[in-house]
Amino acid sequence: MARSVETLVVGGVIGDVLDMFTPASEFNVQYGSKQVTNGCNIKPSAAADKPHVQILCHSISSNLYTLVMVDPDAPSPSEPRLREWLHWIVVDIPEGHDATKGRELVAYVGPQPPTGIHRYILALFKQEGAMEGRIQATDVRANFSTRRFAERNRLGLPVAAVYFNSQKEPAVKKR
Amino acid sequence: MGSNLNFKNFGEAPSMEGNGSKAMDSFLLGRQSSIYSLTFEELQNTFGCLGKDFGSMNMDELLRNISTAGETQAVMTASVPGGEDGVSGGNLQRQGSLTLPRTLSQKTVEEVWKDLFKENDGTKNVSNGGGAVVGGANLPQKQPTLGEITLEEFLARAGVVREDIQQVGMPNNTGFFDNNSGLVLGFQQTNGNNGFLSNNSSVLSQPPRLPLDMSVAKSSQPQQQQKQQQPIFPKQQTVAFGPSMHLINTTRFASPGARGSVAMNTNLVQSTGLQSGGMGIAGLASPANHISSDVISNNSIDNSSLSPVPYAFGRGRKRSAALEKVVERRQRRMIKNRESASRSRARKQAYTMELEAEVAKLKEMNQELQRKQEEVMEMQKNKMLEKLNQSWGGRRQCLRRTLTGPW
Repeated sequence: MARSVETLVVGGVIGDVLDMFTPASEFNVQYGSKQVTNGCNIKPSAAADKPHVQILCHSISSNLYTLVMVDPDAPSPSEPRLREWLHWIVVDIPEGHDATKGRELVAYVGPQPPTGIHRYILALFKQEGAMEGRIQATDVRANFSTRRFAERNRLGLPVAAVYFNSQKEPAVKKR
Repeated sequence: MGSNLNFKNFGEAPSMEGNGSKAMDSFLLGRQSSIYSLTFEELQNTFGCLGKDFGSMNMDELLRNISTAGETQAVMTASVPGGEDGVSGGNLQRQGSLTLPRTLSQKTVEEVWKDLFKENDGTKNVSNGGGAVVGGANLPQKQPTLGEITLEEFLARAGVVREDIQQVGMPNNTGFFDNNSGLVLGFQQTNGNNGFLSNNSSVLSQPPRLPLDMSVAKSSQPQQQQKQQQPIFPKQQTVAFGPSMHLINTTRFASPGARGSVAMNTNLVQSTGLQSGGMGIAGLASPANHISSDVISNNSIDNSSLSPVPYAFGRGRKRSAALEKVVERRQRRMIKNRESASRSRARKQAYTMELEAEVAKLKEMNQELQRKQEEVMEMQKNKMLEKLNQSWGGRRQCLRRTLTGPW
C-alpha cells in the first residue's frame, strides 16, 4: 500500500510526527457513519466522541496494538507551539478487534481546533507483548512526542496511520 | 561608448546626452550619467571586469555589481502594489543601494527578465498620472532583448524600486521640486504603482530639468502633496558632489509629500557610506543637509503620513526605525501567508491523492467482485444443469419399461 504512505508524506504526517514506515496492517477509523480517509474533513462536532477503530485481521495472530492520536498543529498550524497535542492513547488492542477491547491509557478528547485547519493523526503500533505495567499514562498532553513515546515503549515504527483535517466550525447564529 | 564614460564624469553637469541608451533619448533633456541608463550590453562591455554574464547572475550579484561599479548610491524602495505577482512583489529591503524584493534576489537576471517579459505583455505601462508617458514610449523598445534593456528599466520592471533623489543645484529652490532632474529613463510601471525613477543628477552645477515621465508629482514647494497616482516623487536635493545618480523616489500610493531631498543629500554626501536599501527618503536627517529646513520638515510630514509605504532604511535615521518595523511586519506577514498557502496546497494535493487511491482501490474491488460474481453464476449454472441431467436420467431409468410382466 505504497499509495497510502504517499498521502501521508504529502500531508506532512510523515515528517512532522511519524517517520517513514511501511504499512503492515490495516485499520478503519469511523466517526459514526463517516469513514476516515487521509486528509478528509471532519467537523469537531462529529468527532466529539471516540471513533470506532477496527483493526483488520489478516491472519490469526495474537498481536496487540497501540493506538495514538495526536494533533501536530496545536494551537495553530502556522505556529504549532504545542506540537504535538495528545488526544488519545489505547494499548493492548487485540488484532481483528476494535479499540474498545484495549486499555485506554489517555482518555479520548475530541478535536477542538482554535485556529486554522489542524491535522489529527491516528497511528497504530504493534506491540511486542502486553504492556501491562510498563507503560505510564501522561497527564500532560501538550508537546507530546509520538516518536519518543514509541521509542520509550519499544513500539518501533508504526504499522499503519491515518489522518483527517478539522477546523473550527463557524458559530451559527440563529435568527 | 559615450554612455560608459558618462557616468564617470559626474562632474560635468550639463547635458550629457542620453547616454547612448535608447530610453534616455526620449526622456532626458539633461545629462544622463546614470549607470542605470545603460543597457545591459553596454554595461557588460564597460565592466568587462565584472567577469560574469549578466544573464546568469543572481539579482543580488547584479545589484552589487551595479553599486560597486557605478559607485552609485540609490536607495531603492520597493513598494508593492497589490496584485503584482511574485516578481515584482514583496517589499524587501536589501543592504546595499538597491532594494530587492526577496522573491527576486535569488533569481538570476535571466529568469527575472523572462518573468518581466511575460508580465509586461499583460501590463503595459499605464496610468502614470499626467506625466509624460515616457515609459510607454520606451516600452516597445525595451521589450526585445535582455541585452538591450537598460538597467533602469530592467530593475524598474523587476520591481526593484529606487528612491529617486534629485539633485538639484539649488538647495532651496522650490522650483526644482517640480521637475525631476534626470528623470528616470525607461521608467516603467508595471502597475501603476511601482515606479522606478532614476534621475541623473548632475553635480550641483546643473539644475536638472528633465521632464519627469510619469506623472511624478511635482511639488512646487517642498511641502507639496504629490499626486497619488504617481508613486514617484521627485525629490530635490542639493548635490554635494559628484557621484551622480542618486535618485530616490519613494513610490507611494499614499500621500506623497516631498521627500527625500534630505535623503538625497545624505545620500550624496555619504555616497559610499550610504548603503541602505529602502527608502531613505522618509525623514532623512541627513547629516549633510544642503536642503533647506523646509525640505526636511516636509520629509517629516511625509513620513508620518505614509502608512502603506515602503521603507526607509538607514537613510533617515530619524524615521528608519519605525519604518523598518513596518516593513518587517509586512514581510513577516507575507512569509506567513506564503506558508499558509503552501500548507493549503499540500492539503489539497494529499486529498486528491487519497481520492485517486480510493478510486483505484474501488475499481479494483469492483472488478474483482464482478469476476467472482461471474464465477459464482457459472458454477450455479453448472450445478443446475448437472442436477437436471441427473434427475432426468434417473427418471428415465425409472420409467423404462420392463418386459417382465406376462400379458
